[in-house]
Amino acid sequence: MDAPPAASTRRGRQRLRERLLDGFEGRTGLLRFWHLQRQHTVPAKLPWYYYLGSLLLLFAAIQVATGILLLLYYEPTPSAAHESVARIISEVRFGWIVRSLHYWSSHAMVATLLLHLARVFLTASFKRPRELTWMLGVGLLLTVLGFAFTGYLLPWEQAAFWGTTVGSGIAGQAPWLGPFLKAMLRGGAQVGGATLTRFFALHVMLLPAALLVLLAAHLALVWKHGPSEPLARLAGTGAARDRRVRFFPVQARKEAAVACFVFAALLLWVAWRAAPLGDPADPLRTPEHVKPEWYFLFSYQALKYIPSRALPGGISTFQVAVLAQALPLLALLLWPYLERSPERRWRRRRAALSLFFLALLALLVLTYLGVYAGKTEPIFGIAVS
Amino acid sequence: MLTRRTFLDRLRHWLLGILGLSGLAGVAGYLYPPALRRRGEPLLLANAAELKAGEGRLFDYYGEPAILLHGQEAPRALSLVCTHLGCSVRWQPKEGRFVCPCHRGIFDADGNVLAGPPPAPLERLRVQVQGNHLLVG
Ligand code: HEM
Ligand code: FES
Repeated sequence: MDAPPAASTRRGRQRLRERLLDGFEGRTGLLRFWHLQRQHTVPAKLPWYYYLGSLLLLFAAIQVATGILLLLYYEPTPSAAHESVARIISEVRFGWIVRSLHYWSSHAMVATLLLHLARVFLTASFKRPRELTWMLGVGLLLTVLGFAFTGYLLPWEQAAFWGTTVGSGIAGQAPWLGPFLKAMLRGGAQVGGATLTRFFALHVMLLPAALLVLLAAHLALVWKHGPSEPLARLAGTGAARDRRVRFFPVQARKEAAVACFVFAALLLWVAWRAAPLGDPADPLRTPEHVKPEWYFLFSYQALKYIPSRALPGGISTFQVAVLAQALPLLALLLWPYLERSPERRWRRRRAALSLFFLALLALLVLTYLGVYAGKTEPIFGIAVS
Repeated sequence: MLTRRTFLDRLRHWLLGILGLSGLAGVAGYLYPPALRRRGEPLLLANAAELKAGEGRLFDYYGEPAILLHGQEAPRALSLVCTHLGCSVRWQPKEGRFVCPCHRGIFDADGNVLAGPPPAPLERLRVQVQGNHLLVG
């Protein structure tokens, strides 16, 4: 009593599928794992600033993808680097899009990183049990700034060459360890081919590896603890307060939609403003008005106000100032242990919030002064005077 | 009392620690550049004795910018690497001084600091006259 042939092949196919899946599950256990992850829930209606982290993932993905593409044409030597970037823009098909995406997405990533950090601070989401999530975040911040600092030099432009000279010169001013640090950064006495090789290795090997490890740990902890309850929900009452939705697919879909929207906006921006490429580096001539990128401007401007006076012990005021810049970073890293009360409401965090807004004000003022110091300088490719 | 067991445990930890640290020191040693300044033989600058007073001639001194100046009596050579953070200073012939574009450090024609943040004078390079040519360094 055989079944009709069509039905039997259908059943056969189904059996084959089940056997394949069973076999796969038996070898990996991934199906059960995936099934468990689908139980993960998050508070319903997360506010927009809870999406910044997933935007950072979008930018990181763009950086990796476009970075690999750039590697196919970029040449990391002083004589060829600038030419090779110019060739990517002008000769390689769609090369200008790839480079502009890498360039603008890096700026967007630094900006989003600062916003993400500010939101985590303002919603007090770093508090127990998320202290380690925060500290891994600070590690990610340093890694991303490392990407920015090393990537800046790679096209071997005048501004970047001298910006790096000054930047590594500042590292050289740190008391005791300074000269060692400077030599390690430059790979020689001056910024030159050895520096380019080092920065290239950092930019395409070491920092991506660090990013991968830190990011995996950061995300694993974010997943384990789930998002902190939004402050508005803490204040609210009733059923709406406790509503939760599944991450897959409800929240994931929303985050993907936001990511698509931002990616489209980035593409529009790129079409409107291609990434600029300045003059090639001339190691013998410093241009007028050497300035770092916008996110280092506050430090550049602050150091301008420090006179270089000798202090007892063979160090100078400037050296102390360079070292002092490490203190805010240390405070940032250890913040969950400096502000220890579990209180998350703004009314009960007066001291912490005052400090935050004071620091923010100082950063904004210094950056503003840095932008307008000196003559006309392009900021975001736009000339300001 | 230190038992044999805890003693061996401690010994193992110390040995592993020392091994790890020497490994790290080795890595740092590898990363530290072997020759910071690779300066070779003195550089020959041809026809340099024809320099007019106040006129400067830029040259590349083993990867560092340098300038040859006609001095009061003898020609002088100075490294243009600013002693503050390493920008390359500019010669202003009219004012007879060097200005650093990075933080406005100012040096006189002998390389001494006149103003600004630089902590030390510009480096002087040795100059030997050989007929119409000069040997610098
Ligand atoms: C490459 C950089 C980074 C990426 C890709 C990243 C990614 C993410 C993602 C996807 C989330 C969950 C969504 C959200 O809450 O927005 C998150 C949460 C979090 N991030 Fe980051 N992050 C980065 C840097 C940082 C930095 C610099 C800090 C702070 C110093 C930080 C601290 C936190 C904390 C504490 C949470 C948990 C927030 C909560 O539970 O409400 N992250 N991060
Ligand atoms: S580098 Fe010359 S004054 Fe700062």
